[in-house]
Amino acid sequence: MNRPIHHQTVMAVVICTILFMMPLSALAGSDDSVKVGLRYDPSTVNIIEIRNGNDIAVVSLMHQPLLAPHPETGDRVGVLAKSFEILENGKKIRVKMYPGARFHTGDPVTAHDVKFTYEACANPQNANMIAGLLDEIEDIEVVDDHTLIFHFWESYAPWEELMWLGISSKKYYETAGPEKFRSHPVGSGSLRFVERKIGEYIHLEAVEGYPLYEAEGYPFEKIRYKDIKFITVPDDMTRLAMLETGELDLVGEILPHQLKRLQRNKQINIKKSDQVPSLFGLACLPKTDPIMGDRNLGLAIRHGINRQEMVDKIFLGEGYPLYQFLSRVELGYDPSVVVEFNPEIARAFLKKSDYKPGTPLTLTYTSLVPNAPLIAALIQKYLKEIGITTKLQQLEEGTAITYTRNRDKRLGHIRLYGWPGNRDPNIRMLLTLLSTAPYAAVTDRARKVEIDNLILLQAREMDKTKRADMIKEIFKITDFDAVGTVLFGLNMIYAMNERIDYTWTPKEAYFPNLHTIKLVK
Amino acid sequence: MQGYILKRILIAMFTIFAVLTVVFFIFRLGPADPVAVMLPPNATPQDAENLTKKFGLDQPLMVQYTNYLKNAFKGDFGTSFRFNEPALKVLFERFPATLQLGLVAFVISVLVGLSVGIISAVKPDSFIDRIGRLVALAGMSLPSFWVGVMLILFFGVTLRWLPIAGKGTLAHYIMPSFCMSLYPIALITRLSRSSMLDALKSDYVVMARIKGVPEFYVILVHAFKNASIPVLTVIFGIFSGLIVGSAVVVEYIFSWPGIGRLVMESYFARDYPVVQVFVIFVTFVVVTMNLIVDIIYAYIDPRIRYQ
Repeated sequence: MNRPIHHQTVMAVVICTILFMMPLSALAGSDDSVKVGLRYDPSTVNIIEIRNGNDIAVVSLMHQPLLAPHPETGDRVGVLAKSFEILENGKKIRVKMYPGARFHTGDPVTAHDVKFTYEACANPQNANMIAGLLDEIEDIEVVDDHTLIFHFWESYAPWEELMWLGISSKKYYETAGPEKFRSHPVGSGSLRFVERKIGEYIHLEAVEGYPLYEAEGYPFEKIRYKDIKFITVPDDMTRLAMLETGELDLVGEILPHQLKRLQRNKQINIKKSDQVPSLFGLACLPKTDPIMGDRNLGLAIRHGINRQEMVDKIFLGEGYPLYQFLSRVELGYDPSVVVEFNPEIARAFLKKSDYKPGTPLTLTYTSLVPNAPLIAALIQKYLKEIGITTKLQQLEEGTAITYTRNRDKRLGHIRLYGWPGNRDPNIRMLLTLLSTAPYAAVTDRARKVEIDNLILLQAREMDKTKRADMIKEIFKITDFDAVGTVLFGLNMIYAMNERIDYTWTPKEAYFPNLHTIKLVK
Repeated sequence: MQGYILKRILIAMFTIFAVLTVVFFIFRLGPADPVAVMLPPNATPQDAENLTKKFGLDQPLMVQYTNYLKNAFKGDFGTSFRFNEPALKVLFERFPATLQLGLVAFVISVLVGLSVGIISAVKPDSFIDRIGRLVALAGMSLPSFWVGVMLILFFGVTLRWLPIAGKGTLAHYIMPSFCMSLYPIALITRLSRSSMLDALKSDYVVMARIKGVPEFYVILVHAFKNASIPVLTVIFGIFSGLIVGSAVVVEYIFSWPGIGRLVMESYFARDYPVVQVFVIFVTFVVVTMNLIVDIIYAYIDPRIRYQ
């Protein structure tokens, strides 16, 4: 029996189809826009108040720094700075700036703006993440509009690590006031601020007429897209699904087990970099129990863990074993240093140690390290095979930080850590290896005076080769402590849809140089 | 009646005060030191001392508590570590999004839940009743995070019918609001079905039918009016539950920019002032809703106010 099709039914179907199609066409957006998915909502758009690496990726696009990483090599090259002159063996650094740089307001970028930005970032009131590092600077002297001198308290070898701060306009701060300065930042970068909706997105647009001048080492290029949106999507699965549907163009920090689904999608281009700062390891804490200061126990642990298998099994090969307290991209990293995985050697060291078989050692981990429960379980298995009993303890990250800082005995004997990573190990050495450091595991080693002196001296050594040798020497000495062991580094996996092309800048940890994104389709 | 309302208001105020106190002591006496948590890894002991002073954490606990209560009554719950803005302001900026989603989910829950419940009761063991019971069972037992992921994969990635996350168009509401309303639909369906079954068997309904009242009026006016009292009780609870409970999981999965996602992110970023203000706000909402329900009850049922 044929039933007549009612007009209302037809209309309902049409309306439903339109309703469904509307959002999809809206989501497609304009062809020359780029959408980047972020796991965390950036805490600020104000360079003076940046709290974490996630903020840097967004804020750095709006501002030009004195030095920026070269998109291909990752080496720091002059952007606002035309030249650097090291004076008085590094106690002073004279900077000459390019005169052509302009803020988005049209005002020139001057040495006064550099001084203003650095002083504001160093002000504890602004709680900037690098405020502590800027304490190395005693004063900034403005010589003329395009020349300034950084005065350090003492020679400071890793001075380049302080020169990446994007410069803000002093005049804009004075005319617009602090509130507008915070909410509507003005920089001199190739992208300008448009809008921020907290919890949703940050929208930047390309500034016409850029680049304004040519720099000797930095490859300025015209922006290939009209605007960029940073969209916060905290859930990993959702973020990757949005990449698949084209609601996002670029996603970073992808974990290896999430790759399988993406690899099936031919419209997704997956790239990897093994040249990002990455460092995961075990800190052994003699303060918790003196047994953890036993060198033989430490060596047993080092030889008893199969790092390669750990990378292969848990991270599906997307990483590499590490044997030094240095990430691959840091000064002083020596690829020839290898600790052999050999349970026999491990058992021999364990026999020589004061460890009593059956005494449980607590292994603490937090959710800050990816796949931490799996890593902890695998370490437990390796240690069991050589005769060390461990029990696992998962802590909330805030609690773990508090215990670590206070050297609380409730923290386990061994702690799984992840270090976000830098290019230069100076700060980490000062914080963890110096015998008086807040996170020092060993405070009374036999060669304490020697290593403390070396750590302080390397920070003043302006010759990079000599400094690298000093760092290697430091790690040779700390290697003798055998307190703790480094495990592995991880590749940065990032993926984009076929309409764009982007390559991660080596040595950088957080979405660097996004202005180099090219529109392919 | 006035005495009853006054008593209820005093109980509500005491509850909020108790939560304020518990929240204060949990965060202060818990193992995580807010200063250690806030400091960057390269902070010096001097930085720690400065921050301790800045937040008044160097003061005796009772002095801190008094200051906290004073500030709380002024609406000052501290500054978000992450956003460097008042925690309450950060929360209120995100609340409208949660309210909008909550309202949509609430409307869907009530409309679908009541309709299916009534039809199931009127036609027990029919096809709709069986499907309704199955959906109710599924809605009660399937966790919203799983349903959310499945919706994303099916309607977002496979069929590409709906946007996956965010808050842009009307279509963005469909998946998260459905996900949020699944449990309330199940609850309302089950409750309205059982209430309606009881009502339909009652003497006044039989009498109405004998009098020849049309079936439509018998169901909606005679039976449903009486059956709706226990359902209404649940509905108020559902609304506050949607806003403060389901929102946390659903907003996180669908990247909805509301307070549920905010509190999850704040927890992971250890932004304790925001987490703290969320807990207090949730308490305030729940207590206020309960207060309203209590007062409405008293108006509807005089026995309650005489008790």
